[in-house]
Amino acid sequence: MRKQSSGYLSRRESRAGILFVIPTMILLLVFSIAPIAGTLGISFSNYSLGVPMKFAGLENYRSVLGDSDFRTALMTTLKLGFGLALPGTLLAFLIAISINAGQKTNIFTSIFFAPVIYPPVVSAFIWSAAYRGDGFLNRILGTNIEWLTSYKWALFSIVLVMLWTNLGFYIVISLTGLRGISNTYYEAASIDGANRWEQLRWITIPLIKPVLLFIGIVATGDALQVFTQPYLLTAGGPGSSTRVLASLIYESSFRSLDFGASSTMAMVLLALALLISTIQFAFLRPKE
Amino acid sequence: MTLLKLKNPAGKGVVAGKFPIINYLALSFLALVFTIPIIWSIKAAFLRNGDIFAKEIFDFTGPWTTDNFVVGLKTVPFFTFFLNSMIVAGVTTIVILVTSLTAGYGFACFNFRWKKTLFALVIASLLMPFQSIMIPLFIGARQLHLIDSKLGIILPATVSAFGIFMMRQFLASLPRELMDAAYIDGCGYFMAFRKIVVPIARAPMATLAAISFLGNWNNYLWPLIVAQSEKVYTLPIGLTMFRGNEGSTNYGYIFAASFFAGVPALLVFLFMRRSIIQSYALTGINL
Repeated sequence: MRKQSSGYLSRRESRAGILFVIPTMILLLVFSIAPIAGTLGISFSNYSLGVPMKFAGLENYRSVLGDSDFRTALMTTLKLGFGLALPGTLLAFLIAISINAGQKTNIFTSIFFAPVIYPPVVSAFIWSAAYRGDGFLNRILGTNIEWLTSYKWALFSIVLVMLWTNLGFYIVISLTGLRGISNTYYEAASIDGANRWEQLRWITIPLIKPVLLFIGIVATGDALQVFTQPYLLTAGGPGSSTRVLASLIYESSFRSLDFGASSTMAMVLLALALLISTIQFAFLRPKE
Repeated sequence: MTLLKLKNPAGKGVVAGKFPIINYLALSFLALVFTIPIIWSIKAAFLRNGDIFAKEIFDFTGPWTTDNFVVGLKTVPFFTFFLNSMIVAGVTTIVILVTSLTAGYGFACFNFRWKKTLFALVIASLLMPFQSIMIPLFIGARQLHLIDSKLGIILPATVSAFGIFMMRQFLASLPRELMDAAYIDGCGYFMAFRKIVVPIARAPMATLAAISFLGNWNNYLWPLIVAQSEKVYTLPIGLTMFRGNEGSTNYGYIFAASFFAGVPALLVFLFMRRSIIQSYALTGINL
């Protein structure tokens, strides 16, 4: 950032800066800031397509928070979040250590990362084929599980797809964390005669812990926003056992056209997302 | 047990060297497990529908067929979907590059009133889930008669908070003398943008282009809301047309069409993998 020098120059400079920023900021205002305000406004009103908007105060919030569909979706989303966060963090850590120990680091990282950028619609198709009765998952395992249609397995199946999709991202965060640990710790430990297990136990794990927590939070955030795969794989079923918050908001906006209640749910989702981001930033700050 | 191994800083070979082969094999096995779904779907694109579920995973004996491409893709206006996706992803990517670089330059190299507030708005929009803006976006698009048009799909994606953030961070990391030298040489701000900022930002722009293209190529939710007829369907929306009722879905056709959705994404990743992975690692944001 430049210091202000003379009055003339800084005014010229300030005008140029504004000129460069303004067009983009107008787009940002129109396409994301104003819509947020819109969602907030609609959340306090009764509004549906074709019907004039009517102020409703906190009515939507009262009905949404008491609504069993909403509570179920919220619980399902949280279950998905924890289901993703725990194994995701653990697997990412183990695989990152393994990648870091060997050769061909980049190839392995790329392979694990590929599902992150793979079209979610395509991955939904692949998994819906894999989860069929005669699909390749039952075939490998020699089982006859109804992955997507039984209450017992449906949510687990969604977790598995999300794990496949996102693990590469968590591995990459773990790798960054591992590489951030200074070599001098290990050198000192080697001189003191610490073996690999002791180095892992007393250096790597304590120093990587914040990174692992960070991954857990990222994973919870991923579960909060996931839409495409659960929507296409199970459409929320069986019953509503896999209906996540994002799917519920979509359905109540664009199927039931109840914009008031949908906006209220969207505001709850936003609040949760911001909470998660706040915790993330708290983790990122003290480092470095 | 074999997984628990440290990168030895002093000499990788010495400490990690105890079970390098087992570690390597375990990792290769896991990597194989990870790639099975994608490989299996590409194989399925070249098999008859009846053979897809009858064959073992690693049975690569055929009989191969291209019918899924030749016949299957003609059952829906597939080419239109592909073209629409190319247009949507291509146009948004180009506009995102322009809007991100100009705003990034403004934020990184100038001082002006409200700068901090405006940049805070950028960060705020970076964190917002799409669900929390989609209803007003839909209502607005409807009032402007942009529903069921490619323009309606494209417009909200022309600005990327991530892009602005990324370009600002890059340009702010450059030495100040670089820009000052240009100004002293008589470069105006716009000339400096054209002659210095654009060339110097080539690498982060390529990364941003790849990430934006992937994001818009893969996007499902917003096109699902806006596109309502086949002529504006993008590939992800069009793909779902291949789904029949229970039992009647032709997976051969699905995976032939998926081939054209997945392979471009993989190719972009292949060429830009290092910088894509790096920007995910540095921001910690799942884009």
